[in-house]
Amino acid sequence: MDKSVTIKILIPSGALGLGYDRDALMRGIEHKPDLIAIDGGSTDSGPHYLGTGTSKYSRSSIKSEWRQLMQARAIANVPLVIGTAGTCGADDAVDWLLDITKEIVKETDQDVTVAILKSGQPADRVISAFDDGRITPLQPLIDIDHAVLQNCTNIVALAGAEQIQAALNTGAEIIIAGRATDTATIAALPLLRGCHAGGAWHGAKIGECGALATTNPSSGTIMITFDADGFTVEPMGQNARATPYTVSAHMLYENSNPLKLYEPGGHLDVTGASYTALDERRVRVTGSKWFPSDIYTVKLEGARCGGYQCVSLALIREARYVQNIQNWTYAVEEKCRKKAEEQVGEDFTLELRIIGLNATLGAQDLNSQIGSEVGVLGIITAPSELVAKEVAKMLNPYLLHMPLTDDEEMPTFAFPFSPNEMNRGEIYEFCLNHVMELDDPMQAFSLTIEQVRA
Amino acid sequence: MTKLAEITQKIRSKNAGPFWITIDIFCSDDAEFKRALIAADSEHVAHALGISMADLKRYDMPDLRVVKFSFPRPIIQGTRFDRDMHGASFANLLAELDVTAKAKRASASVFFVKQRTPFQKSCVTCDLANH
Repeated sequence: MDKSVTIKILIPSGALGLGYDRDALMRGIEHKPDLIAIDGGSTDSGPHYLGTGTSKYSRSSIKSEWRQLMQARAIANVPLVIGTAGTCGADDAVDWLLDITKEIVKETDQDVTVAILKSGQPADRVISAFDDGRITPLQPLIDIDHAVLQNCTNIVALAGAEQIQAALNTGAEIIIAGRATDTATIAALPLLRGCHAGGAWHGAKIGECGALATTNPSSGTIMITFDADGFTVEPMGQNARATPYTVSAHMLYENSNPLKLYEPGGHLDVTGASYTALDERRVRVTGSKWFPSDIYTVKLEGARCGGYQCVSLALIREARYVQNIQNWTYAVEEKCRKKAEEQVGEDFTLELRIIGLNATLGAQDLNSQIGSEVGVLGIITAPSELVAKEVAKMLNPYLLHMPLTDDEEMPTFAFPFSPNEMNRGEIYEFCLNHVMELDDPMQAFSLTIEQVRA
Repeated sequence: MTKLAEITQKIRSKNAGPFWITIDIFCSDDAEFKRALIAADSEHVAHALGISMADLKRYDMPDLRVVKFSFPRPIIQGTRFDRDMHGASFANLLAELDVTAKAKRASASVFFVKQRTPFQKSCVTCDLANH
């Protein structure tokens, strides 16, 4: 190993679309990074994005931030890598960001070479791996079969460092990668140049959320410098500081296991890591260990249709109804369900959540208190949009007018909208929590190069 | 009645992938951490979260003065009955945990907290690939 090797990776923010401090980014460019890496998404906001292959953030905010990063890249003259493009990293989302890139190239009159790494998995490939015993479930166990795999609207495999390295080796200026682990885009180059493997993965994990591992998360930009023994964290925001506490505590963040991180090809163990303050703003980390695995696996994510949904909201302010809201809600639910079962069959679910009582935590909330008003949110999910709407329309008169007792005047409650039913369309559900074994890291990924000219 | 939030610095929760929730209990000093170790009794915590003890992974981390719990989501993220996409509100179940009895026991017992050691794990079997 070359003891003098150092690789600087500049991470503008935790995700493209989140925004960052432009001065911090430009300061990062002045520090001469070897690569700029940014995350384009995750499963964080739920299954809709993978289900539909679309982005969570607005196209114009993505375009504006991506343009700035492309300009910063041109100044630094180093590769710019985005992983999990378009929130979910499905092939359509990669194409979406590629289209945006082409528009920017035309508008800024600057040619670029783009490597496109796709992570989308045809169902047939996964089904054949499943039949060959090359798909292994993770905890918690989720049952799958051919039908589950066939019904996924998108399946992606998470690329690791190897696939990003293959893209880097093409010499492309910009790499647009589909679904990848949060750390792969950052760890790839340090690993390729022979930096400390434990340090490369650990530093990538610390850097993947940008300045979240510092005292000033909203400043966004962070530089991680990798070398033969470990890595150094330096925030680029003027008021941001990295301390041994902010850096070590970042392993807790949205990690179910704060000590180990599983990646394609092995796992990171930070049990023996030591964190030292170099000065008031920089932290040095050594002692993290990487354990290569015997078998090369990539994690799979898949989403399928979970039905069609329609929701309706009533606002209740009358004190007597607020005081008796639980009973009233049970009665509305029971009446509506009975009527709907008679008219459309039993293949739907109807749920009423009481906003202002326990809509957040449900029955698990033992400390709920009622205020002066409540919202009653009706949620109907059915196998078709038509049935969901039909049941929501049956719910409408109950939500609007149902009395607490038979011998009282018909009440009317507040509806905020007309129509009061809000069609949520198709909903999705994650249905894979598995890894797939590969003989070669590129086996399940495709890499193409495009010269994008103004 | 004393709540866990009253004897600790901060309690936060977050989804960790579509199938897991993780809760971090931060303490401001070693004395607070000592109390939290006892007050956040695993059985008590599992009960408050409505999950089985077998599903609860616990990490006691003296260097960070953090007690961390991870568990499979009772309802998978984004499915029709899910109420909280990012798992942000689970922290409240622990923040409002009544720790009166537990906290008294903690202050009466002699408890040794190691200084400057690597993260201590108490019951770690939770291996999540490639999160």
